[in-house]
Amino acid sequence: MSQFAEPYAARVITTLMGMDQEQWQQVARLSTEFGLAFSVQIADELPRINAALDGLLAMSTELIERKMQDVSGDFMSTLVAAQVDGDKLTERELLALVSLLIFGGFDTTRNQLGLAMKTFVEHPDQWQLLRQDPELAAKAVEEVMRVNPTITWVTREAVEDFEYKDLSVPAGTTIHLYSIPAGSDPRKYQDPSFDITASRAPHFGFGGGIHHCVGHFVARIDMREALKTLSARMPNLRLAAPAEYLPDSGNTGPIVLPLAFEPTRSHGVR
Amino acid sequence: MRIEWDESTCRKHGQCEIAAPELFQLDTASNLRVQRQVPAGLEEDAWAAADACPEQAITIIETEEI
Repeated sequence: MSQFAEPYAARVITTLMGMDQEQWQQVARLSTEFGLAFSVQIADELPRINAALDGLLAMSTELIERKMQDVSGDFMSTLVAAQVDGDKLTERELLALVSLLIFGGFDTTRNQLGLAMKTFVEHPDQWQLLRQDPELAAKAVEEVMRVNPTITWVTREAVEDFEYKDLSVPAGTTIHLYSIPAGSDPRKYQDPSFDITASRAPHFGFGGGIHHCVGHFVARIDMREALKTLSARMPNLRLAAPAEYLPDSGNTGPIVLPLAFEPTRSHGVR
Repeated sequence: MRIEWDESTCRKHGQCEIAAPELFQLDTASNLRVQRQVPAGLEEDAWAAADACPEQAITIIETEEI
């Protein structure tokens, strides 16, 4: 994780946002700390979460200020200058958006890459298929997200009292909607086994509706390219030592994933 | 290969157009044009569009080639 998924995911963000590449470690650290907000330990971790949020907001403020002078037409300068019929994003909207892009782009991608590798360790035949045909990488991303999504639940708050299937939910209740079973629901997937060659109905890993992940194309592309390269360079993939994981609640993934493989003689990327 | 989509579910997010611009076009008046018969070579784009739709409103039907 620390040797690949973390720097890779963080550098995709620093590159996309036009940040200094050296800021990747700060992106990683602040995002990881802020990610505690999605776990069941949130109440205990509030000081760390708030400190990380302050850090993310400060990083975003500095970036926005710098990009206001930037006419390069890159992603961030375009976002900062964006307007429709004279209507622009407010400072507050921009700050929230940029902070969310930095956090949302890193933590989930790092975790999902780790879960992808964990899934392939458990299915070496599928890893071999990917090695033989790297064009399967796009399908592999979808299939990993179906069976092993980093987002296992989405959280909402009841804004009014309501009844659901004999359950009475008072207003103000925090509800965790467990989304991971959507990936193997027999009503949608007759054979839910992990198969990167299968043509599947869409998974729910990026959410749905108006809050569907806005960066999903970026995530799909960078995970696809990572899996292509990793499969080319890591034959006979296996665990070298026991892995450590984040709690299953909320955003999940490996913290440490020690992998072993047979080094290949050629170092070129297929 | 054929594209089917549920117009009542469609919310005009436009992700389909980004994934497969030759198959989906959303104009500024929010009208969506869909190329139902998928030309050879665009099959992967069609699947990408189905995966990208935030409402899962797109279904890909694999038809038999004669």
